[in-house]
Amino acid sequence: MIRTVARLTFRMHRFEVGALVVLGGLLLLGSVALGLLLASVGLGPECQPSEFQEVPEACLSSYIRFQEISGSAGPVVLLTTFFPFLGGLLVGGPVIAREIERGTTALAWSMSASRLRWYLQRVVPIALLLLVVGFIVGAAADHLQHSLSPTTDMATSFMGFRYRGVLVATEAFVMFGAAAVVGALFGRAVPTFLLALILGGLAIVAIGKVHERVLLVPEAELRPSEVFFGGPSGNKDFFIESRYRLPDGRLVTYNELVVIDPAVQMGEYNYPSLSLIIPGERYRFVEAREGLADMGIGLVFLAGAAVVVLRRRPT
Amino acid sequence: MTAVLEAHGYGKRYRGRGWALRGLDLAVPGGSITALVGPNGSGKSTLIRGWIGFEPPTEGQLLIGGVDPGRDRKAAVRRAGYVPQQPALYRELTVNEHIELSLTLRDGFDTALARRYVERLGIPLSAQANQLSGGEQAQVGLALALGTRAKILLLDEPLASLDPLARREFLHVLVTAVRSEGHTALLSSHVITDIEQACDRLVVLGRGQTLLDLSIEDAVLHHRVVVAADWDGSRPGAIASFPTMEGELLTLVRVGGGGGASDAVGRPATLEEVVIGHLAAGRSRVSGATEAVA
Repeated sequence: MIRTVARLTFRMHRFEVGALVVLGGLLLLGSVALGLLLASVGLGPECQPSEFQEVPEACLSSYIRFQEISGSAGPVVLLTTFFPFLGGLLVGGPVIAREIERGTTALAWSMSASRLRWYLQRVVPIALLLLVVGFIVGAAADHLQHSLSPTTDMATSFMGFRYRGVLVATEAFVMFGAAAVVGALFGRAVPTFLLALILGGLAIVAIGKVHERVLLVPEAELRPSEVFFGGPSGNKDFFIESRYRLPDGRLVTYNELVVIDPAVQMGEYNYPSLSLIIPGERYRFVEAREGLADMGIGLVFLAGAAVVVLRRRPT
Repeated sequence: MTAVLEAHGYGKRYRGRGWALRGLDLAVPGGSITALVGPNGSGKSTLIRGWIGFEPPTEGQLLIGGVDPGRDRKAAVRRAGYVPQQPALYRELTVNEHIELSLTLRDGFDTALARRYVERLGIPLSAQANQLSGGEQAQVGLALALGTRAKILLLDEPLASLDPLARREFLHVLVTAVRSEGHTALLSSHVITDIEQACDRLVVLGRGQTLLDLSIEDAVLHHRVVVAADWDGSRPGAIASFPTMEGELLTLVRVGGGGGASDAVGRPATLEEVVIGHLAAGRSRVSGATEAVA
């Protein structure tokens, strides 16, 4: 029965499902191909430029080749960045809205004594597929990011944070949930895409902001800004915001500083600046927590869509 | 005979559109095929969708098989098979996949029965829904409704988009299934000739109320038409006047029973004239009393 439900649901949404799989496949292929090409250049750690050395003469040709290939990774990185929005809306927009718009809910809801059953049959297979494709795309993005920066340990670095790894999948899930609830409310596909883009986008930004400001600040570390921005840690640590040390030793944010000394707005200040950062070693923990938050918000959206489905009239 | 579809003071008001139905009382007896007739906007679809639990009442109560869909929608849905006004098939799925889908949605859905009906109608199971004509889609909708093995069938103008042959086939399947299984069917339609052939009861809705509720036999038996010019409208039994296609004005007259005219006046009314006469009466009637001769 489960296989039949999944097969029929994928058949109903075959265009969107096909497009999602193709998009995911292209990103996977692109990431793997670029990774192989970059690896074939054989640019070792001794050839990487740093604050202490230029690119060694012997490495110059391979370094230039590496940079050329890195430059061509732009479209893949860009598409991966937008994958949560594209993928989530692509399959989440029509999943409820189109059924209401086309009137197929009249048939389905008169057949099924439980609308919740119908709802789960339509939503769960698509959501699971989106998560699987999202995880694959996220893993491919992880691989590509590592290929672009071979000396960086991706497990302990915030490089490409939110654009690789599990967060690609979980952010897509938030967009999917937003599209499902908007679709259930409006019952029309086109407005659903637009409104869900706004709702889902706001939700993803809000989750990130709340995570940074509320959850991460208490466990963040302060480092001198010139060290953070100038040194290698800038690649792996996660910058939250700057703090300024007052002559009496107090640490304040920029907004607080403006109130205390309005002249800073003119760029005239000489307060030591510190950076509030999360060390790269905390990456996996931060990623997992934000991923769980995404999943929670996505589920809240889907629960909202279920409530609407239970209460609304079919067309 | 026990009523399986009941309306008790049912009223439905839509925001911005006013009342679709108000104060409706109706009882459809079990085992009957009842035609629900009325002009566009008379509330036929609202009433049918109310029984399947799609339109919660603004006032009053509906009962389907003794269950109030407003209180227990699940039980109401279990009791009914529904064919919506517009074909509601998934254009991406084949006919056979619709049958499979119905099984995933409805416990006890009889896939073999649904397939038999579809095959009997000559519709290929492998055909995709968007390749079917409007008539074939309606037929598939009927086969799915019959596959539920529900005792009550609610059909919301399924004949509207069908050609005469498709209508005939549809009604044949419906009547055969209902008669053989002892089901009850409520068929909303504008096509009087089809109703006359398939139905045994007639309910006319107008202005949000019941204008007529009779067996087909009684509806024809207890009405006659007279030329309006020859008839004093104040005489007992006059219902309403309406023009013929030739421009002649006829008056529908109720005969027999208390307050009816003599059954020797004019000529027997056709079912279409009975319906048109009552619809014409409904236009001018603010709060018409239901005529229930039988």
